[in-house]
Amino acid sequence: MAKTVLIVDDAAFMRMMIKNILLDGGYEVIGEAENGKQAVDAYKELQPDLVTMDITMPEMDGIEAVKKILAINKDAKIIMCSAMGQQAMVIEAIQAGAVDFVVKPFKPDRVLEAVDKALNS
Amino acid sequence: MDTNSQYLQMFFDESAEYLQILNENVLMLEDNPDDEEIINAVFRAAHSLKGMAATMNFSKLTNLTHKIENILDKVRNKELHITEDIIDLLFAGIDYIKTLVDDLKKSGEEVTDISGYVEKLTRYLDGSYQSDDNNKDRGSQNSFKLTEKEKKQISLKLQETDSVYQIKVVLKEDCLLKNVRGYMVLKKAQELGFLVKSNPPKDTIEDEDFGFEIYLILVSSLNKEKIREELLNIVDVEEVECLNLDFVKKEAKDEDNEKTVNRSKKNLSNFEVSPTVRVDIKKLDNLMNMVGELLINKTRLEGLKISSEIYQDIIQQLDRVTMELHHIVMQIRMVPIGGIFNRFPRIVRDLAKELGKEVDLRIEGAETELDRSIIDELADPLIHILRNAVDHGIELPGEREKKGKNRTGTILLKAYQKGSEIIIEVEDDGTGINVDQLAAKAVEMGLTTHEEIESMDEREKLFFIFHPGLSTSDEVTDISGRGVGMDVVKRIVESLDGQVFIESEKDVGTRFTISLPLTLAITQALMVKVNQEIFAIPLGAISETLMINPDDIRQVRGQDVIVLRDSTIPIVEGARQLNLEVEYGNFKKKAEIPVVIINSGERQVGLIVDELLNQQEIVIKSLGNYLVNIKNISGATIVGDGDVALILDVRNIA
Repeated sequence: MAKTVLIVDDAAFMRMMIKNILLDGGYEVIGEAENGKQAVDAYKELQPDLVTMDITMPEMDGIEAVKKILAINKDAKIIMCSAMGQQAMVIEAIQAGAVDFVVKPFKPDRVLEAVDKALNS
Repeated sequence: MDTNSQYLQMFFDESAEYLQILNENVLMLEDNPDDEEIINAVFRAAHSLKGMAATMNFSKLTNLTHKIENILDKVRNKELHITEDIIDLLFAGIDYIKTLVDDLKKSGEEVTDISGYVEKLTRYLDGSYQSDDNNKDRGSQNSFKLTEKEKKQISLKLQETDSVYQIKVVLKEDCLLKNVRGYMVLKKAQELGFLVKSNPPKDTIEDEDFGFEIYLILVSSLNKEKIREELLNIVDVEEVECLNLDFVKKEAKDEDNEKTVNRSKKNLSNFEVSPTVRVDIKKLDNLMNMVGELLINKTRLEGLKISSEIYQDIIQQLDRVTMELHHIVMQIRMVPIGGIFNRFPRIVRDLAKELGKEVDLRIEGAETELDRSIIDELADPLIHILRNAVDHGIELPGEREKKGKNRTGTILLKAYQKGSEIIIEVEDDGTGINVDQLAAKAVEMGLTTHEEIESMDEREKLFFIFHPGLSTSDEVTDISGRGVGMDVVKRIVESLDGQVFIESEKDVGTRFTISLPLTLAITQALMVKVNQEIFAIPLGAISETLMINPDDIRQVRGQDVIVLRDSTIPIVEGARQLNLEVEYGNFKKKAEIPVVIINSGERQVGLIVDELLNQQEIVIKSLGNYLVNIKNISGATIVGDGDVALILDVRNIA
């Protein structure tokens, strides 16, 4: 069975980008959320194998959401989606327990590499 | 070897100069121990020497200059005071540098033993910095030395089944957010065992102040293969070398034996990344030119259209090779924009201090890469904008508090890539530009009339700031306000084929956005035909192409326009813009008219052409000094059949 992914990003365009990359890579996109709050709720409900998490979002940012999700499931696998120049925040997210990160603009092979490695380790 | 000796020559020449500077300035320092200028001069010279030595792979010299630099850094940060001892130490260091350089001149090897002196330097560094021994050996890869404390740690942690490893992790060169990757490597290492130390240390990694290699000393119960596998599993880790340091294990038990792991470092050095070289930028320009020529000939060859399998094969191969070549040359020419950004915090700091303001300069995207020739030109315009932001933008702390803002103003300098363009933004949260005052000034100077101002929107009014001689500041200061500056900014950016935009809101702030092409030499272009002649339009300026019917054309105040997705876009005839000698207006007789929608900032214009041909890579050639002022033409290129096609300067058309 295909592994399931929850995509979190406030921009619909970005969600679509990641979604297409993941679908091409043979993953099932089980849900989408546009802020941290929705992400936490969706995580509880859908129990995805992996979450891709944007950092800057309204309502609740990605780092906060990572902490909340890991509080629910300490083995949750979360990959941060970062823009150039957000190094400090990415480090914070990794400290909080995110497993990896990808940098916008997304390159399909990089995204899939990160997702594959995260799910197989 | 010939080229190498050429660099060597340059290296020797320059080292002599720097040694001179060092000697002179340390001498002056003796009499003026508090003069920051002098300390900085010494520091810069030592730093340049270090950079040169590292580039040439002279490890002793690199290590030595690095240590001296560390001492100077402490002096600069007032952690260490200039005493006679320090002066002596510095002079001794300069002599050692000279001896090493002489060694290299004679034999090509760094013969002289400097370990005693380096030891002494290290002790000086320790003396004032006992609290944080991480900072020792910062960035220097040749002295991966374990301190007593660290050896004790090892011996405490070490179980019988454990091993001590020296691990070298190499990150991929195209690795993004290198510091985060480095952080992940450290984090992973900590999961695998006890991380005794890393070189560079964690703070340096987080500051992204390192190359692509990280050295680790790790105590772990896992075997080499497992550690290697785990670290390789991190994205962007290119290579992991794992070396057993069992002698350290013995040493750790035998505590008074002070040895370095330099020995094992020797074995690892086989895996060192290839050495880098410095190349005169002119040579790269030449190379780029030659690639351009090759590209032109390739296009010509393609134009032959011979129907033979071998021909097709060759063309395909040639295509691949030239593309690759072009790519590589471009990459070589690219340098991170951080190189010029690094100077800015200092400039902003000094200026803010002078003006009694509190300013926090934040820099993002310093790793963004841009063609070297563009970067060199960019420093001045950016300094102009930053100075303006500090001087006119950010208010005095008291004033800011009155407005309910943070006392400290923020200037955000941000660079990023967007498609084939590099965007640089300078944003301040200051007072904003007073648009009405600007417009009034413009009228006063006779640039425009009250009536015209009435019909202008904010953006158009703001553009007056780019007019020579216009400043909103009533008083002229040393820093800005003399009305020179913004027009220079615009001119330089445009000479680089870029554009400047400006947005400003009262009491919220001002943002300058500069967009630049990635490179100036080769670009993608749309080829079009106007009156039997071929013209190239750079792709970056085109938003779309479409076919319209004559019925689609409306008239607004005598101007032909079309309506495209609810916006009205003026259309102009290519032949007329280019002053071609034909009868204008013929296009209206055609059933379908090809139109190229051109972007210039926020404005769009439809350019009517006779025919859309194809998209291709063009090599931009300047028209030379005689033809520099031809309207609407920015250059020329050579197309497949060897003909010259002119490149449209779309900024003026739109």
